[in-house]
Amino acid sequence: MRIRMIVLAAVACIGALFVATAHAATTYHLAAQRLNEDSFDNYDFNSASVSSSNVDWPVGLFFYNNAEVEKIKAGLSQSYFYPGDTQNGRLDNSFGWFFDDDGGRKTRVCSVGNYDDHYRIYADPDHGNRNWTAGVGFYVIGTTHVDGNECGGGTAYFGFSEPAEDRLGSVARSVTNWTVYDDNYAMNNYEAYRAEGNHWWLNNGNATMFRLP
Amino acid sequence: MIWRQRMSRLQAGTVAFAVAGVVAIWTSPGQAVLGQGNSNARDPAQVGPTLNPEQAPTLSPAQRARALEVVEADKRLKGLLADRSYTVSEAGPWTRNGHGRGQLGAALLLNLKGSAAELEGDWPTMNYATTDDSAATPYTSAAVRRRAENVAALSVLVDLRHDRVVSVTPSPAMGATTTLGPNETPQAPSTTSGE
Repeated sequence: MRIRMIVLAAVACIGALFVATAHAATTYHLAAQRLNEDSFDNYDFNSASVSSSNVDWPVGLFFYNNAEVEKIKAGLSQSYFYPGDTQNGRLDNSFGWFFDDDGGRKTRVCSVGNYDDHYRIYADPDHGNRNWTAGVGFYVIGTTHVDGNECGGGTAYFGFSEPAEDRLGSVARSVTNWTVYDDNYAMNNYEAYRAEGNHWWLNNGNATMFRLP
Repeated sequence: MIWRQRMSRLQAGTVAFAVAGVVAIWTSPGQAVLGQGNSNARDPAQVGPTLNPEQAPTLSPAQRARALEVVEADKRLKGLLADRSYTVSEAGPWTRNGHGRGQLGAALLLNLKGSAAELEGDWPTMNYATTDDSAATPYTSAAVRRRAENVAALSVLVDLRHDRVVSVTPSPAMGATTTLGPNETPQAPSTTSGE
């Protein structure tokens, strides 16, 4: 198993040499979302800088009850195995605002004439890679999107967060004792269909919730 | 030297990835959408200046209509679709950036009627050629012969300044797989920093 991981990781890293990239994009819906005494921004960022023109993707994933970053990645690893490039989420776990970076996991190394689904998840690294608030428990937020034709085979594109979120929900339903509630958390980050460079927006503004045991 | 630095990063990334290896109960989360109401109110003060949604780039009805005319007249797209009909499920602006400057045209999502199809022909393919927003045509476009399987929808870019379809891709909204053309190999596009 360890050898397999090393080999696959090496392949992933070599594939990264050829990866196209989505540039920083612009949203008109960036806003901090309050959750009891906590807060988090409803987009992640290309760098640790909060700006409407420095966003990557809308937050569309909310893991809760007993969520933790590595636990989530382990649960989804059968479909989402390969590493991706790092982006930045910003949160306030009632101790003050901070950035957390994550490369997340992808369903393919680098798509050629195809696409892969890619998610990233963010939480407080100084408090167990998870956040906590009353009534919700330990929670982690995340974004997801599609990487298309990264290594050739057609026009390179990134985005389509909504169908990527739907597919991740389908995968999560097969994880033992996880419960999925589609589009159950209003994130105020609706994005109408549009192409901004190779950044293709499509998001209904409601995050899918995942209750972890 | 660059290659050596890259390899160093790759090795570090490989090693890092290889090595990586009070429960509150949420009451009836499926019955109500979380986030609606005061607990999730917008808090612009926390994120600094925000952009006015009314200033977001849009596609006017006239632009949409023109884009559809261009799509319907495009011979390569006709060749790909054969006689398959479609509906337009989404239509929005295609811009080089998010501020509406450098609006290039329209982005369309075409849902094919009937079962998922195998499409073979000349696929318009686009790559951005420059980061200069003022460039008259900041992309290159060429037709590449390919076959795509299990296609249920197409993502299409229409340059409304030149009235032409510059990109057609099987849409990830539905899922599809494309076979590379005979002279294609995986290669780095114009940017290399990774997604």
